[in-house]
Amino acid sequence: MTVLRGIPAAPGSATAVARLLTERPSTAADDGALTIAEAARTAAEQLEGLARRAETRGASEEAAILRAQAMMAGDPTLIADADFRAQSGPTRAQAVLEAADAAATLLEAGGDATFAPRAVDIRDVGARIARVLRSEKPPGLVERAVVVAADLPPSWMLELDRSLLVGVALERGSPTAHVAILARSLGVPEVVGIAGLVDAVGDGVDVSIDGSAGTILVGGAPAGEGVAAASQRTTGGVALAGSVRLRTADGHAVILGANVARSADARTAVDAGAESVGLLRTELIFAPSATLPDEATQSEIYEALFKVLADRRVAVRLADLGDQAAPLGVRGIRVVRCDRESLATQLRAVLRAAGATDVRLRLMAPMVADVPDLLILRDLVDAAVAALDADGRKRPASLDIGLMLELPAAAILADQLTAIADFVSIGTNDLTQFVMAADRSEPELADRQDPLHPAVVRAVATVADAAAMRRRPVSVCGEMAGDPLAAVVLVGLGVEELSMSPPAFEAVARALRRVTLHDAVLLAAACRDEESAADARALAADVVGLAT
Amino acid sequence: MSSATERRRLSTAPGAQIPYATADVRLAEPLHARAAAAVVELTSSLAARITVSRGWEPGQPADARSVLALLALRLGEGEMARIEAYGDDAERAVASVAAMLARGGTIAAHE
Repeated sequence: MTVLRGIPAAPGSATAVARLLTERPSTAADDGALTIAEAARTAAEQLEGLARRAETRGASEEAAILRAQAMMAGDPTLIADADFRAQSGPTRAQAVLEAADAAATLLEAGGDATFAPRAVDIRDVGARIARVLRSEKPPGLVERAVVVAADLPPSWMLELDRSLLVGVALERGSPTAHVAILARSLGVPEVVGIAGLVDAVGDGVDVSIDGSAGTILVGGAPAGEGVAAASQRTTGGVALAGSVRLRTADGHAVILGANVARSADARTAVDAGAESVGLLRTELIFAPSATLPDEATQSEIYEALFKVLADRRVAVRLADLGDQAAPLGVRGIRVVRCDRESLATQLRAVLRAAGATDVRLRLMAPMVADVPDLLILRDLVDAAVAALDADGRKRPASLDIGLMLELPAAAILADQLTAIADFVSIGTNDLTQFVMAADRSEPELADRQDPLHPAVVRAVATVADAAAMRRRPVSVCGEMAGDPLAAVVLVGLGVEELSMSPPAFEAVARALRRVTLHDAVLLAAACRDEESAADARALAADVVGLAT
Repeated sequence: MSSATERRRLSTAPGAQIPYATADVRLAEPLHARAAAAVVELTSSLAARITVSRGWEPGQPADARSVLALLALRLGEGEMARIEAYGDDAERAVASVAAMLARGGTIAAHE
């Protein structure tokens, strides 16, 4: 019995046989029935179908990738190149694979974070056309299985039978890759970045996967908890008990918050037992419209959402407008430099809706770096409150203006910022990306994206300490909060609210129940002094007693 | 500040009777998979033969109906692209592709 450690990518646990999925070089020759162009058209249609499936799962970004892949499959350049190569010897399937590989290599050449990751998509398209030419079936499952692979393109993930897919373990991959996003949306536990995985796990061997702890148990009997979690996972990963509470073994209470991105999420969050909404993302609420609607329309949408939350606290993050392709560009609060009105309109709509309901409102904005940025937000809120008064509308019952902390600059200036912020909410996804200078979409850098890296832990500690000095409440709303081991570390650092997506509630609650506050504080102090994320994670796993 | 400084000139290619148009445009966002797919969708419905190349160092022009060729340009945000079109609709084709590349700035989720 072996334990393999990786990076948690999607919560939940399960036990089943391993199904090794690899792109094996096929020995089958061309069957000759189809031309390359015909096979490409079939592949494009398949990808269009998968795009629609992703769309119905709410995975719109993944749907866009599959659409782009459909277009690549029908690409005249690819087909012409493959036709040309096929004339000089190889089978048509082989020619398509070579043409796709050549196109992919061209994209990888620059090492650019925007283009290099698309090479995987192109090779996936080539492999798909080759399968059509050879009349091969896509890799599938015949029994309940944990899929084990070097890496997995999103299109494979969507083709696997959901009723048989109980887990995904990848040797490469990243917790922020599209496959991980799909796994979370499907409620399938996933662990990525497991060194030596494919060699260590044979096809058909029994494995237990714990997507929360980031471990794979090979060839052993499942842990007691694993079985319970596996049967629970069939509810879609969301424990609908409504009685989940975050308490350490000695009774220290932590507020359980939910991250909400769409109107429907609010109901799910309340049903799952959320005490607050630690992060309301406002970009997707208005999808599919590409721009923010007018004040009245926005206000109606917020009001309906707030009503569901009753008198809970809700931290609204203003829309992250601006160019999303440039994470370091003019976005978030920086947008006031060129478009003050969009943020002002949104603020008036949020305040109006909060005034008409019972929620206790918290406001924050992305990309705040220093005190002047926070003062801009305060000015905008003051103006919006004045407009509310002028219209004779009710002010919100409670209104706090706080710091969304995601920039290293803000962490360094935490002592200044906590002097004027009513609260601090740490967005660990962007904070990790910026502290580590590692693009979240770069699978090769998965180990640079782990929030338990000592550099990130120290940044969070600096902020939590500064907030404690000023007696400002601190919450964490990044994926770190929903990662059971990291959650224990956060509580040890003094974080008072953990906000995550509801499927992670149960696993985080279970991890916290296993430690006392004293254990958590000692663990957090030790993690600050570890030298790598892997060391910190191993230590946390030992302390929490998971995966042993 | 407008990110799109667009210089357009319309002319007839030397020695050719075929309508020709060209424009240089500064990209508002990288010509990534989604943007390239949008360009292909647009150009597939137009009669003109349209190409895109790197603005200041025009090398091999990419067929604007090929996602892969467009991606292979590896054009980043703020870089200049040269759009050229031959055939009926050339002028309209260049104008619409240029407008699409200069626009950008959409709303998306960002944690």
